Amino acid sequence: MCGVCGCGKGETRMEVDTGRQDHAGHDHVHQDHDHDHAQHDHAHHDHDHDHDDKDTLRDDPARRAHLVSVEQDILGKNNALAAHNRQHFNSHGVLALNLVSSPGAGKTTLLVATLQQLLPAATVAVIEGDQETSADADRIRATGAPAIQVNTGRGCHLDASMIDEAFHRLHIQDGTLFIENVGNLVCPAAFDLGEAHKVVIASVTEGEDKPLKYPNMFAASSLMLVSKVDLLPHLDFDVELLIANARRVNPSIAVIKVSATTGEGIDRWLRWISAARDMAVASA
Amino acid sequence: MGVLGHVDPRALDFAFDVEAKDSPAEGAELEIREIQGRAWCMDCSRLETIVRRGDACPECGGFTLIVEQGEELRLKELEVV
Repeated sequence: MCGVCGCGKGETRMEVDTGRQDHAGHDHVHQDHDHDHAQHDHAHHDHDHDHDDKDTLRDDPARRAHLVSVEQDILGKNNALAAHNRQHFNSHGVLALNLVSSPGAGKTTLLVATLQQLLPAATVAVIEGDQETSADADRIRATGAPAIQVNTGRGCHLDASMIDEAFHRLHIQDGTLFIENVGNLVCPAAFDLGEAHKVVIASVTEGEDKPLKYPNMFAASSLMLVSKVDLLPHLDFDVELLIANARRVNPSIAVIKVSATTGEGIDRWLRWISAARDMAVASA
Repeated sequence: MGVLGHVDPRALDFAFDVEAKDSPAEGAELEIREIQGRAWCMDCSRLETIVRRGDACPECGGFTLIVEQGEELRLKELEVV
């Protein structure tokens, strides 16, 4: 069981084939990057905490003698791997975006519409996370983009080690990697995959209070895509309230309204990706 | 464990008991120390305590808060018996 969220582990399955036909003779350049996970530094902030509760191990001298100081981040192992992924993405000139949302917000549909605009000119690849089925990767591959499906089994999120393994199979260089996380606004917020940005997708068929109900995800994201805006005439939905709520938990979050059906806002989303790529390459 | 973090203490407590069963940690107590949420308010330039994300600054009511503390999740110490 995952100690962070209680989801199951040990049942992850990953496709071997990316659906791309041009693997033969492919040059996979591995620039030098640091594999020394043990040396990874975590920023430690010193905070003063008042513990009024006297009934703790530290307050009992007899038990305090048996205490071993550990001082380890619970998510440290994932964070170290995520740092490794980030280095790997940088050395390969890859912009990695981690797309997160509730189930049914339209991640895959939006991604298909995005890939149709980017291809064939751009280099792209997709890692698809779902508990079961390869349905989403099949939809992605139909656009011509290479995709790997990761089935998390009982797990409710992708973690950095799954991305490390999938990235090695995708052989992408100088391009954009879209990671479609498991549809879940809770746990994926806690697991850094090494992405440059998390992009949260909130559809107008959900409630305007989603950012307040699931604040960690909106706080962790650089951009909110408001999806399915073509449906707005049929709904009693206040887009400005959704945006105000998102900025309550993340004052700096960028917002783009999009519709995969009508194409509205897709151009702005593509410009955002292009700018993010330029920033990633410039600061790599 | 920071109160603004991703982990529900009750869920961790439950998972700990399940995972500890049939392991050297069976019967061990899990002691969770809570760390309060602190955020820097960009509007009034003060460090304030917040209970959850999305809360307004208790001083000025503004929402441009940068979280400084409360996302921690660390294993501090183990008692060896």
